Amino acid sequence: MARTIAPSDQLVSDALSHSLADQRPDRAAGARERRNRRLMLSLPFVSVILFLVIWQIIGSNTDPILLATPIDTVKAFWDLLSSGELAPAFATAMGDLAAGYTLAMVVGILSGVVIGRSPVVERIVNPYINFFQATPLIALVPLVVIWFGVGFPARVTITFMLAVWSIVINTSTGVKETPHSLLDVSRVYKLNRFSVITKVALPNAVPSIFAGLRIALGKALIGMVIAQMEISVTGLGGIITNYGNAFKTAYLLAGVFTASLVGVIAAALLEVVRRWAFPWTRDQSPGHL
Amino acid sequence: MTASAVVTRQGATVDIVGVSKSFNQRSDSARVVLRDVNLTVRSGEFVSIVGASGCGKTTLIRMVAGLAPYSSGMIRVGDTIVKGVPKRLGFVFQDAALMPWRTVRANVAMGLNETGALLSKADARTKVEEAMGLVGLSAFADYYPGQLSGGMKQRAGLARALVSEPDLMLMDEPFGALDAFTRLRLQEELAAIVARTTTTTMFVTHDVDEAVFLSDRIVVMSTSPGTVKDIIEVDLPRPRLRREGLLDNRRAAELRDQVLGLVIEDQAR
Repeated sequence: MARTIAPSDQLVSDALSHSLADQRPDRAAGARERRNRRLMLSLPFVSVILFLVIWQIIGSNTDPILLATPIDTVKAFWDLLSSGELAPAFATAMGDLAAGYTLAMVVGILSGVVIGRSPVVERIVNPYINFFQATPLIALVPLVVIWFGVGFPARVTITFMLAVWSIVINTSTGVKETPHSLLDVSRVYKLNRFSVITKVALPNAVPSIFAGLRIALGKALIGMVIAQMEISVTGLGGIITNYGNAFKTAYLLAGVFTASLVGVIAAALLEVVRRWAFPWTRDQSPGHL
Repeated sequence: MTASAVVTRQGATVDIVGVSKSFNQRSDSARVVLRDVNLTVRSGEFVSIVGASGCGKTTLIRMVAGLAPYSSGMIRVGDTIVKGVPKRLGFVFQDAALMPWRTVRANVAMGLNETGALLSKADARTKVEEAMGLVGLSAFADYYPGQLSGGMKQRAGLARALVSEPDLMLMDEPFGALDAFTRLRLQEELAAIVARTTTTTMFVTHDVDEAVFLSDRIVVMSTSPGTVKDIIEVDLPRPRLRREGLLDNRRAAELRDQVLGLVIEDQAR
């Protein structure tokens, strides 16, 4: 069917290009449009460069304890890197994040599926989900320390605790919103209960689950950095805390930007996994993200 | 769709006896959707069900499919009373209802879930390829539904229903959302496909021309409550080809006017 449409499209575009050639002002308008588009594409870069320049100017006229310049920050970054301080901190941060986030992913998706498929379970756990959604979970850090000490388990717990709720909620919503027609299909072709989950409800929830995973990633990052700052004083959070206490603002900022780098890398990995494992979501808009 | 299957398989009969259906809005007041529906569909027959919206034609076909319960009466497919979904059923849904995460091929293969366990992998693959060929989708086997037009999606839904060589095909306004030209073309292809199989078909539509073109009999339903108002025998010879002037055929025009008259009469009531 696509083939039968193609020739007429060709005709339309031929007609269009003829009329453009006939009218010179239109061609000039086309050139102007292209120039405008190039300008639009370059705007983010211009914006960032301008920001860095202004920051440099203001920074070099300010007490370096209050604000380090971008150049000083890059120098501090290089210093941390070459002194061998950054790499292990980066590894600790990635390790904490990977452990806490993976745990949140497994627990969140499994419980989300159960909640989404069973109205009874949903009603039973709803009060707790609402409670934990409303509670500033950071306030539970001291309790986590009492339970788990000040090491790796406590940091993973906090990362997990912050991340898991968006995954639970998005998974259960996605599973619950399986279209009736697809459930009818699975009845007509006699899928068993397990297949209805694995072949219909769970795949249907994939876009929603990934939206939840994106939100959860941001929260996991917060949890990871806070835990490293407040509990163990290790990893990137440790660098930020230690250099902050020493009023070495450039080193503090270098730590902050490395933490955002961790976030960027993790988000990119998530996107790669989505495109590779779920190619059918490529044509769908990522929604409200 | 192999020759042996056509010889050995036989379309299911459908008996609908005194069937009523009401939705309980409140415990005291029930809304009656269908009242005392009686209909017998013969093996291999193509029966269309037409009627104004709200006459319960979709509800009726869903009850035959075992997707909705009925309040009283009896529905029998073959010699089994319908409780769950009957065996060897094909269902074509209004919106195609394909799984967006499966390619066309994988969607069609889903139709073999019930009967496929009896087949070798190679046989199952052959059947899927045959079904896609039958509806002209072979070139699009690896596409995802999101990449297909409405007509192609509906073809895939049709292939999924056909792949298991069902004894009974139920179709719920399958072409209702398509543009007029695609609809005409799919009607012709459906007529040709059904003619090659032994399956019994029940086809819900609000398009009277479509019903006349495809059916052996047309069941006209009345509204509130829905029940069978009349059954029209379509005594047009087959194959019916539009390019040979079926649309000008006087008998076809008479039948269409008769069916339309019945529907309009019911609405005027």
